[in-house]
Amino acid sequence: MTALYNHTARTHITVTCIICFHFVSIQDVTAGSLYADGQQAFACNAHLADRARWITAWALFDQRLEEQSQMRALIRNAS
Amino acid sequence: MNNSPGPHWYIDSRPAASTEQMSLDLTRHLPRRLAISPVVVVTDRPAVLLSVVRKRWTAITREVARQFASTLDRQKKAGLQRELDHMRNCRFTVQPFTEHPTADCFFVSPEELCLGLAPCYSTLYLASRLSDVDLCIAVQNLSLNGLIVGYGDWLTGYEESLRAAFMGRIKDIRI
Repeated sequence: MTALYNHTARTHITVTCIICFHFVSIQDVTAGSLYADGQQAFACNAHLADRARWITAWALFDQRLEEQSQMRALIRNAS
Repeated sequence: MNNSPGPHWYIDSRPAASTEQMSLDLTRHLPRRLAISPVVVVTDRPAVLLSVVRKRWTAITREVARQFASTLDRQKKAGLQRELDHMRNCRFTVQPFTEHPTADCFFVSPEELCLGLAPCYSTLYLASRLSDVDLCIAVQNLSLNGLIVGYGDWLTGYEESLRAAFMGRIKDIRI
């Protein structure tokens, strides 16, 4: 179970799973890598049991972010 | 990407029916968090857990290599290669930060918490129950968008301590 602890209290929010892309309660996910803007990315706890899918999905997630950041750098340099 | 803005800690209470289940969960979760910044694992027997995690880490690295070899998808291949490089370069230690500052994952016992933790880490795994005081020491260098993973449901009884530690950190930063 994950919960967000911010300034005021423990709060429960809805987040997107990076593996199945469903909106799920933060209680049903676990924190993984970060998005390019530093925000936390999550995946459903249930996916952790499927080792192959878990590894591939996160590897792809990180790779896409890397490619997006390279693309942004290229565009910045070109302009 | 619909998280709340501003400083926050994520608290993840994960099941720990057995030490084996805990080490398996920890090892599967670790690569993601080690991609962000150093990790601290607090456990009663750091050397034992380190050895178990290392063994499981080798198995996961082999699994990534197997997946890499079995895909033709260019993006997937690049991602898995990146993952492999990262996993092969991760360094685990039971030594304190002062003695091994370049390590990525520090295994410490509750008694060793005061010997000096990494100046900043984004993830704190609590594999054994801590006292209020030890918990406050353990979170003192946790980044303000960090994750606390507690094995077992004991962390829920420590909300007040965490709240105080969190508010203390916010106050330090504002000053």
